[in-house]
Amino acid sequence: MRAQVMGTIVQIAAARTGKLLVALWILALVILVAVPVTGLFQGEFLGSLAFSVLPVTILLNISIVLAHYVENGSVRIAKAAWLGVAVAALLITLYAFDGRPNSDIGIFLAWFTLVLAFPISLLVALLFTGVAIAAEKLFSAVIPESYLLLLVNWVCFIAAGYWQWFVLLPWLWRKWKTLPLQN
Amino acid sequence: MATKAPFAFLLVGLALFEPVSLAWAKKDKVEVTLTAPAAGALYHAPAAITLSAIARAKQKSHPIVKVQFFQGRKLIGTVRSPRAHNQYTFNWANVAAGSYLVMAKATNDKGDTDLSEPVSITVNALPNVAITAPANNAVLAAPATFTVTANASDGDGSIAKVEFYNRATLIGTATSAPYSVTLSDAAAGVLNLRATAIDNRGASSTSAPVTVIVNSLPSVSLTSPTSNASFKAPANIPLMVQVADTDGSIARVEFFHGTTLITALSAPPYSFGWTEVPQGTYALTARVTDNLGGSVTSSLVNVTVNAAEAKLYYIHTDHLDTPREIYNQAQQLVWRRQHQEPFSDSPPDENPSGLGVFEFPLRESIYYGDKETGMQYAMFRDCYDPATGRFCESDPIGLRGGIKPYLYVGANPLSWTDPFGLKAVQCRKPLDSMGGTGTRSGPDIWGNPAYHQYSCVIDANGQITCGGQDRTGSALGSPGKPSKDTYDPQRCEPTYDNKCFDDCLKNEWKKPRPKYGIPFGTDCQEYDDDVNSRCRKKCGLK
Repeated sequence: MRAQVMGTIVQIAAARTGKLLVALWILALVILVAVPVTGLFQGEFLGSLAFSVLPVTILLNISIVLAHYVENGSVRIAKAAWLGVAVAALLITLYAFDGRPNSDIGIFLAWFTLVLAFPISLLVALLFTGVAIAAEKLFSAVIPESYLLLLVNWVCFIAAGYWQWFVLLPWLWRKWKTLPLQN
Repeated sequence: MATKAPFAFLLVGLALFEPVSLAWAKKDKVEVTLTAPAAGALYHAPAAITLSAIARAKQKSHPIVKVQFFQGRKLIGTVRSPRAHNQYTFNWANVAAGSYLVMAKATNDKGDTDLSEPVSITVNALPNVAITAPANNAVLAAPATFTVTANASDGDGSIAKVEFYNRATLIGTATSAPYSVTLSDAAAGVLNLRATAIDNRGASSTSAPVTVIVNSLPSVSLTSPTSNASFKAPANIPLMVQVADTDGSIARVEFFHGTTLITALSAPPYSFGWTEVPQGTYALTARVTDNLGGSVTSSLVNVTVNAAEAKLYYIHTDHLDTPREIYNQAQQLVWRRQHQEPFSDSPPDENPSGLGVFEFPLRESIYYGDKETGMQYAMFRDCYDPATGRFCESDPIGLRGGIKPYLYVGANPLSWTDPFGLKAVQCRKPLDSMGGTGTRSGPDIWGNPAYHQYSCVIDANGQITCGGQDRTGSALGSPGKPSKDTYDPQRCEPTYDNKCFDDCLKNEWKKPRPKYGIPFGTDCQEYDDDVNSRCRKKCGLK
């Protein structure tokens, strides 16, 4: 399995764009390891781990776009990395949740999912905000942070992000490539 | 019967003769004569009177054993041995005023006595005298003309005259009440006055001395402003005097306009800058008082302060609102301050274009610069010392402002100001759920959004008020609510220290919080930035 992945990466790196893609993955991996390790020595492991996820997510988003261009198996690796980071963020969130209805971990999850699924995440966030306003206006109810709400938020954002990056984007890419032929 | 009669007469005669003969015999054996005082002698109370008597014993076998002196029937002294041959002396001291009858009585060892002839003497009461005017230590202006008055009385007679002396010099005599003399044109100096009363028997008494200081008055003239000078409101009028005192020193100089005191000065140079004088006409005087309390008022100097003439100057400030250059309406540079170092230790150039001195006292953080001391007045602190770049007075809020209470703007004068010597601060702290030791969860670097942001205002009493945005529920959307924050100097940085700004922040924090939401809503960072921005704009701050 590892040899297969390494072989795929070598194939990807053969192309010029592929080199950039591999460089992005390496950079993301370095950040994901180096920042939390540094934080570990400073007594801020959790905060550093959470912070490292944000730039890594941006790099992975860029890599997904490049992967669709490069193809040659790179999309599968990008997808795996993207999902891996998403799951990691969920684990961080659930671990750090302190049970309070206005727990700060909701801020982390919001920023993370907004970046991971950008730009469709804005629509999802708008939907959640609308629901919250409606609940307040109609029922004078406030939606508190909870494990369930955090999970629902994550699922909704990740589902939207997955659809955006791995369904919509390939479809658009294919459309784009076939556009000159149609013309 | 006829033969018995002569015998009976003999017996009766013997019986009568016996006591008479005994008395005669006793008298003959002792003799005493009072030799002093002389009859009618006059003494002055309290008198010391020497009583002297000559006492002799007729029979050597029965000597004198004592001589007693009497005043009327009252024994006043007993002498048992003679001072000289048969002379017995007794000193009668502290004899009060009055008339007395004195006599001596001598007694020998058998108890035989003799009584001298009584002698009448008089002890005269001394007159009483006291100077009633002027009062002791009175200060009179030279040349002084004044009346010295004394009260004099005599308990057993009358006052013949009262003599007045300055030290040993007789200055006048009065023979009838009220006893007074007038002293004319006394020169400057100290007079020591006494009065001596002499009664009808020649007895005299002297009063307690009375000191009178004849003071040479100081001189004063108002040398500035000149008479009929005119100024423009709000005027700064220099007040100066020329003063002198020939017999002492100047204790105080007071400046008046009309009867209103402008200022009082007790040390030279006796000059004062009367500032911010409004429009009007002023009658100025100076009153000088010397060390003896003598005071003189200068002649009147009239000045006029005309209506204010507004002039427009353009003040150019740097990014911290510190004045750097001032131009007049003709766009001529009239004042400039260019720093050679960051802590404001460079004096301004008050005449950069040769147009005359232009004074402008505002310095860093809008402190008031004192040219004389080089210090700067820092509102809630007495001073800021630009030479050391530190406050001279500790932070009035104590260590709540940080562990270095004399530090000026965190030793970063190129970025921060502290106009009131206090501060409003903006704070960041890590998110509760993720923790952290610095200002953010994770690395304290730009771009890391994992922190809570709020502001605090520290007022002059050291009371700290903090305000920020929190939420009641989900981070994606929920009603906002005030956050519960505390001031932590390690996590806060000073922003502006301006009363308007501080009050504005407090007012903003009293308002309901906006809806919280990421990204559609107002999170704590956006709220704090918005509030600070609104207040900066409202208070005209950059």
